[in-house]
Amino acid sequence: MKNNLKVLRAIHSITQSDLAGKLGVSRQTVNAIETGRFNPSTLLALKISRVFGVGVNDIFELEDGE
Amino acid sequence: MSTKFTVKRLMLPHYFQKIGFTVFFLMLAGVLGGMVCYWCGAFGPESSSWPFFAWLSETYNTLWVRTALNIIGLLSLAFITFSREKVEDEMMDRLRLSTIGAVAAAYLILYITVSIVWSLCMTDGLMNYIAANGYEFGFYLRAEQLWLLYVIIFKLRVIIGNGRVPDERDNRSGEDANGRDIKVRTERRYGDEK
Repeated sequence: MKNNLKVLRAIHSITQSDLAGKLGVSRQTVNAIETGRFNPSTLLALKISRVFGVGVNDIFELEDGE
Repeated sequence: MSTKFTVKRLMLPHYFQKIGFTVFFLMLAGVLGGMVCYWCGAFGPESSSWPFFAWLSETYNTLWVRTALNIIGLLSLAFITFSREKVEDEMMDRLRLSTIGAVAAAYLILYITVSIVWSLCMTDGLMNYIAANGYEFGFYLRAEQLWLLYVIIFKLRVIIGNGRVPDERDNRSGEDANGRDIKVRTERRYGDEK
């Protein structure tokens, strides 16, 4: 699953630490989501979309073949 | 969406992990130190410490002392296992679950391998040696050792995962879904309004 979390963080000028604090997770988790090593749960994905004010589909995208 | 029941409500505070590690390593140091000293002859019958060592060895070999040490060892592992990490989130939950799966898989592979080797290589002489030294089939596959394996694998994965996280830089640029760089102008000029 692809995501543009890094881009959204850059646009909103939010560091990984800040985002992790807002979501209640560790910076390791945010980094793992950005690098594709970890897929967030529905709850966490909705929290991310609420932080950035965009829909979940605007953040996460299925890769070809999924 | 609310989850009334969460695993982290059942877990001990993070400082219990430090207590668990301290107790565990103290026990390990004590056992290893005693073994090294014994092998080096530091407490041999000729040494002045021999009466103390003899008493210590006799006390250690009593059932209640060994049981107490086993319980303390298990308690230390329990403190490590059931205490929270610094940040408890869903990735930690998944890490724990996948580590349990990894240990179960390792146990199965080891059990099958040892069963085969034991059946093929066992001779009367070897069997007598093993029986004489108190080993039995699967002695290294006891629950305590599997639990210790779980703790080692879990902590290693947490440390390696933390090591993969780069230093936080002021990352003002990123890439879009096609991998092209997006430069975002973030410096504010005098007179800029948000």
